[in-house]
Amino acid sequence: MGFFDEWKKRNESRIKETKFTLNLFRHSFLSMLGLVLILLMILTALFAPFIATEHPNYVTLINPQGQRVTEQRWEIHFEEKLEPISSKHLFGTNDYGYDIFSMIVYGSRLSIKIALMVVVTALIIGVVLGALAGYFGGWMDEIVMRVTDIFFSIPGLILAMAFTAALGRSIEHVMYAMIIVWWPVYTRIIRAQVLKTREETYVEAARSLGTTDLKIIFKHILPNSFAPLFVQVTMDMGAVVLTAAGLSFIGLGASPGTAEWGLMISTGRAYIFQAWWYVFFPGMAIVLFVLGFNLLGDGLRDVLDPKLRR
Amino acid sequence: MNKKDIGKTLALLVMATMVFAIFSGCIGEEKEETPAPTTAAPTTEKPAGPTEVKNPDTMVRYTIGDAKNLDPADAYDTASSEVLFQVYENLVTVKGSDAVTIEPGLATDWSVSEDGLVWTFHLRKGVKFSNGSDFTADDVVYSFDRVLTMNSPESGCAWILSQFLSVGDTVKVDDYTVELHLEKSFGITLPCLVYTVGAIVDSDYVEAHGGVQADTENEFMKANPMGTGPYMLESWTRKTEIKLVKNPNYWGGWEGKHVSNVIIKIVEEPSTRILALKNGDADFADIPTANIVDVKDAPGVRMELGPSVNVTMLHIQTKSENTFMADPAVRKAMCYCFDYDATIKDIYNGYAIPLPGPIPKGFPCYESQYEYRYSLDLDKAAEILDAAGFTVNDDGYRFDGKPIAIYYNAGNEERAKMSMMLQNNLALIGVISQVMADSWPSLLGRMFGTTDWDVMYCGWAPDYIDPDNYIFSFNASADVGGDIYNTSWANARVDELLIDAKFESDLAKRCEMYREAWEIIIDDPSHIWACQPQHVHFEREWVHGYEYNPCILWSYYNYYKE
Amino acid sequence: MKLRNYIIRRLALLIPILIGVTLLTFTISHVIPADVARHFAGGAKANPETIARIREEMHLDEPLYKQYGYYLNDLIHGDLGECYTERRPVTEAIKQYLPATAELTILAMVMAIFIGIITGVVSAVKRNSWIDHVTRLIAITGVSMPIFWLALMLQLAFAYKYPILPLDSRLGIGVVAPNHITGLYVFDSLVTGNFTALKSSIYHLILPSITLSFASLAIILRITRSSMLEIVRSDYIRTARAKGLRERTVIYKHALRNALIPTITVAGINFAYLLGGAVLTETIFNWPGMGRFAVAAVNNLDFPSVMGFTLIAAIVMVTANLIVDLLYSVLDPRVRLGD
Repeated sequence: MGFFDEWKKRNESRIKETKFTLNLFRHSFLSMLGLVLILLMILTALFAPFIATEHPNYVTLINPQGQRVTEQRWEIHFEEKLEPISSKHLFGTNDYGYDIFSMIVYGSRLSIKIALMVVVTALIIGVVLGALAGYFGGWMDEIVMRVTDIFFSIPGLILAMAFTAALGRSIEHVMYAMIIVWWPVYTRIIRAQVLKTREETYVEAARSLGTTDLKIIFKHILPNSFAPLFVQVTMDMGAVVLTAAGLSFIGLGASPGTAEWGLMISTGRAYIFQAWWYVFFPGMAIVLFVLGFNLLGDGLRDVLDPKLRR
Repeated sequence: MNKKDIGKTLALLVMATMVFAIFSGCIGEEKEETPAPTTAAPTTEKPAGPTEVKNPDTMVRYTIGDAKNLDPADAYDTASSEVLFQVYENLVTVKGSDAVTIEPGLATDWSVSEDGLVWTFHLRKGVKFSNGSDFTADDVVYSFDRVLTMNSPESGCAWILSQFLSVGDTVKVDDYTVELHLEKSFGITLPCLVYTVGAIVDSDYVEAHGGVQADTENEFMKANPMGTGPYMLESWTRKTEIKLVKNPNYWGGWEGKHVSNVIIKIVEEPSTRILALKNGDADFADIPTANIVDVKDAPGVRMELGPSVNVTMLHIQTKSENTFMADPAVRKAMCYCFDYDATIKDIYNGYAIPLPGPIPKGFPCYESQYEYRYSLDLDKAAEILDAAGFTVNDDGYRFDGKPIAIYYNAGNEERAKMSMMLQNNLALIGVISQVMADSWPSLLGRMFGTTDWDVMYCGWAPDYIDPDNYIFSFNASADVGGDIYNTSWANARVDELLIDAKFESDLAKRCEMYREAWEIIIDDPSHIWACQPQHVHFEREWVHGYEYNPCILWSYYNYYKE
Repeated sequence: MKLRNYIIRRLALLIPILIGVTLLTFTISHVIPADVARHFAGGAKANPETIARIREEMHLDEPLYKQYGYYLNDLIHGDLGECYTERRPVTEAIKQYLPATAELTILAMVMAIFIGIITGVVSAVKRNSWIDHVTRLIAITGVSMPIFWLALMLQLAFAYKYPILPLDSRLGIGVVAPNHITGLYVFDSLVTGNFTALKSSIYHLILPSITLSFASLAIILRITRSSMLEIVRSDYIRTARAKGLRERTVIYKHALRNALIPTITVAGINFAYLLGGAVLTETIFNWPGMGRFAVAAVNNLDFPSVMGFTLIAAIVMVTANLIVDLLYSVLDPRVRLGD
């Protein structure tokens, strides 16, 4: 009883702010729509085995590089290839006879996995580097800034293409390449925020009290730096999936036979006059996924913007 | 929701409806356009297409790949040879749809000595290169010696000549007579001279532009071909188009029906090529097997079907890291796991015929391969593996779960499908495999530089029309100059037979040798003979004069439009 | 500080960045991949002598820092290596393909800026009307669509179903390219008076540029709208209105000029996206530009070409950012003074 009440009292203003924010958010139609879309994606991914009508097998083996990998294998049904929408195949079939609806459902798992992994890893790297650069300044700051400058001067997709080509074609390498492309963004944001907050009086006060630098960073500076990150992270979830789809489309990502949305559009392109559903539905899946995150991010931005709040 | 939100929802609905309307309209009509698969012969009634001939004096061909090297001494790909066959000519050639009968080219007649060691060619008089200089025996000597000295550093095609000719063997007797002095009698000399590697270049022209250096390519000649052929290169815009224009000095003359211009457009997108063919922008277009159904009934388009001599097969690395691949039983079992029927029916959409061995139908000695030894039979495959001691372990896998690595070149959908299908079937008998798509150069590097792969693909088109070009390249061992795809397979008796057959002139004897070789090969297989794809050709109905020749695919001089 | 000093400082910063980029490209193509020499030797029927010779030529057996030195030396002399897929110098390939991409990208950028700003302003001025909602919806869908999917849908709709626009390429068949001045067909054909080429090239530019500009257009639209909304409520605008100025003057003379500042920033940042989008757009529309070249290079592990186009992309980006920064500092004196 006592601890929780104390905590509530100490963080009273924070709790009030959060409540206000959530309330604002609830009343924004588009943000709620975005949330709904995202929930739809998450639920599809979680309950994929229950939603899809056909299911892949998973085979674990040791690949030529000596790593243990698990691969997705769908059953080939050449006699059912390229069939249009029907009651049995909601979105039709592809050139191997796979059910496109099921592939899209399982594809949502891969998309969420890619988005989360890339964003979270890039975020961690970015936060660490950005905080160090912003707080300690000096040569550390200079180096980090120059390095991010270098990365910013090469367009993201092109840099990711080059890295994936060098590393070799696979979904994992695509993720590594995208992490490399994305970390500078978060570094810059955190650094800017840290620069602002470190001049605040309460930080001065903490420092004069003898608090260690590390504690200052983690307890005072970082928590106040997260606001602009929320929006960026949300939008980036969508952007990462778009980039991954683009890379798979070029031929750099998923291995054939995997249910990955970008790859499906790429293979479906050859059949576009015979089987439009092969290209249309994976594309719509990407659009809805990214749209959800963009709407949410948008809503968050409006809601968190102090000028528009009151 | 308040008024604001209602407005937003309405806008959303309007947008969604618009998008869907455009789309379903799009779709609806599309589906009517693509006809149900017919079993009738291709000559069904079609509505007449646009009858006005587009670009009457120009042939336009939409193809998929750019030429790599326009120097005949160092070119080994179909895109380059297409251009080279229009610009250059050889001593002998083939005509029409007959790829076997040797016809006069720059040589009007020829003879060979009793012992087969000296070939004499009488050259055509009055022939000029497109730059005006005269064609004489000096050019022939220069051309052949050039190929042998340069030794095709980029493409490796020189072996076609070097297998029977060395520098200095080509001798000028007089301005219009040339002799080839061979070390060993070589029955397939003439077919080998038909290929682009035997093209005649102008000695003065090459000397003026870099000359000949051993093992080095000639940068100028790579992009500036100049020959005696009916066309000259007007321009080559990489990855975009190749333009040919008529050679006014051509000895064959320009009377009769010919086109003055040829444009070869490089378009990687199948949908673009399909559309171009449909609306007449393209006179010829490369259509992938998967899209044949999109085009075959289009108005104004003519489809030709016929046997080709291309073969598709999978080859197996017998010395791979998976040591069990060395056991013929394993490879035989794999041959039983391949679904030959589905390959022809579903992957090639019926546009292929079965293949019993390395020699394709249409070649002499095809019948030496007298039966189809393998078919899809998973029980048999399991039986063979069990008998050889490769049984299933507790997890249900053979070979202790070690995967078989199957590689194919990314983008090739047929190979992707064959790989996936093989993987499926192997899994049913407890064999794990991994299918990997790789870029072409990476694949080649792996194929030739390493043995850490198990299954890869070859698609072969003829360099010269003789079974030796196929069976020797695939099944002779590397030590004697065969095993072109690095299977590490070797059999001393087969080598003996194939070498003898290469130099044997009597056809019946050769077929006997090939039969014996085939019997050994098929029992210890290093290849899965997938199929022999058919030749599917598309052209506009206003095109005339085209005939399929597996050796010389394109002869624009013979085509005209009306 | 004075504008001149600011410019000099910015230019000086370019050099370490470009060196850093060369380090990056060097790492990507020399440190990571496997056997480069074999690729060059033709892979297929490569004889060991050729491979050995190439290893020597490319200094592949020497220590890395020396290789980097050779690389930099070549760069300074304008040698970007030989393109493996086309067997000619990379610089030659880039010279051929760059104008095509430039034409497409410039047009897309111009479209995105103009249409984006105009619709953004209209949307802000008519806030919450149905125009506003529709444009905002289009905007947010625009950034959510994979660009290659949009390209395919546009092709299906306007080149196949209702064939009013060409499917791909820069010119129709049989249309001769205008005499080469810049390589930008619209400009060249205008200047040489070649009206067939002019018409054809414009026609062929429509679909690809719409595709490429769509996402950037959407972003610029939203930024213009939101910054206009913000400014319109600010004090000096209220003053202007109170002074009795016409609404049009208020909007265009005062509000817009200030709203443009964040727009320019966003446009600059977005340029990277435009270059990446060009890769995908060119692939679908068979546009003979750097993007298509890049895809072929990457798929063929043609590392000199990969290095080449990455470097060029970096140079273009850096130049674009420089221009944006300079524009920004001209428009907003606070920027350079605060430096």
